[in-house]
Amino acid sequence: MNSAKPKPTPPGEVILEVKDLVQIYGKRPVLNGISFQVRKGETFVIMGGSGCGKTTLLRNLIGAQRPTSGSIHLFGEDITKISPQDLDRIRLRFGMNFQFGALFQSMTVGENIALPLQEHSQVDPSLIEMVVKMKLELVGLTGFENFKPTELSGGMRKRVGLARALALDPELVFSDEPTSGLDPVMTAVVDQLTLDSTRKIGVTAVVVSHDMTSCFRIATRLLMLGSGPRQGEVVAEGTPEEMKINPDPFLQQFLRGEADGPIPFRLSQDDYLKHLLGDG
Amino acid sequence: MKKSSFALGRLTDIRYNLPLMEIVEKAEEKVLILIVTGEIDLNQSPTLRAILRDKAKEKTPHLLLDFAQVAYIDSSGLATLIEYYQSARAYSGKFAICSLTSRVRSSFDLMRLSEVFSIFPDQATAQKSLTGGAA
Repeated sequence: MNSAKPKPTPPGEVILEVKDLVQIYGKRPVLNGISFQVRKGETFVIMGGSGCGKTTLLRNLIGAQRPTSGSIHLFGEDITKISPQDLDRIRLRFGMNFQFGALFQSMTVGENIALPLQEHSQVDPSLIEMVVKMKLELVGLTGFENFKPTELSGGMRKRVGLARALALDPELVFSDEPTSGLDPVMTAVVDQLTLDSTRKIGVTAVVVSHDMTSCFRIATRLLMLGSGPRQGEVVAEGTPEEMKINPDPFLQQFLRGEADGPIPFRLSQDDYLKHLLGDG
Repeated sequence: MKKSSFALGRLTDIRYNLPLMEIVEKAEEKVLILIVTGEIDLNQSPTLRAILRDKAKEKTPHLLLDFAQVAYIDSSGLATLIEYYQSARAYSGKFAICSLTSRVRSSFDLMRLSEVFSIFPDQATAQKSLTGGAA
């Protein structure tokens, strides 16, 4: 028995704090001074267009890469500065639901979900089997324990990834595009699971998504990352109601899904010619 | 795990003291009651399992878990309860849970287990049901 288990974060307290986060690839700042806080029990949605740095931000938040500068306090510890061993200890407190599931192809669905429990707990194998069944039921995949990931559709693999992220009943779950590629019914099922976990059990969710229906259905607060001239900046942050009435033209174009607006789709004529003719 | 017995009127209670969980065992009429306090998580559920396995071995006829002071139960805890439920069913033992907090109740609901277990609002109602109204 491990009696050194960390005390869970009390409801409403800050569980994640990002300060002045900068990530530069080459000379290009992908994240440029991002700051925000997430409190226990919230569903915090990070949205933004393709290439705005959402996935880069998420990789920073889970400690998969180190930022150029800035800090990320997760459960009170700055994960940009701690040792790999300490980071592993913190990782036991959160689950990560990867965009495409990131399942081990050589293992069955059941073995994939059981893995975190086998690696990080003393739970008996017969109980682990039951937990696997419960997690599969949660994501609508009862009876798929013995399938291999290659025998499943992309959407099903995604849901297995979610079941695995929930295997250890983490305090915090990070999800990268949890509903992209899912049909509308399964999107609603995954959203409801997020809502039940956060509002009834007290789990905290940080979700990266550009599925607007899903974002506004689950979020307690949202943050929009900018692109183009506002690359790497926080364009807006607030509750769903605050975001809807925020007049920022980038935000409103994104929320309405309009082609015309300040969010650049193409370079300006001058910039395009410079790029094409090599004059830049 | 520290285990101590003490007399309480005509009843003998057993107290299991664990780092983050406490279980008090009370024999009342025909029902054995385990009053659980704390959080039932990955670290605590193996201990709860050991106690419940003993009760199954003894073929406890009527077992009631009082969860009024249980702040949280995770999937390993729920699996532990399912295992006992299966064992008790094999010898026709009766098993109930009472006084769930809303958060714990939500965990049962989320895993669709509220229909599997006999869940009651309080000890008295649960005891009455377990003993067929004789409690």
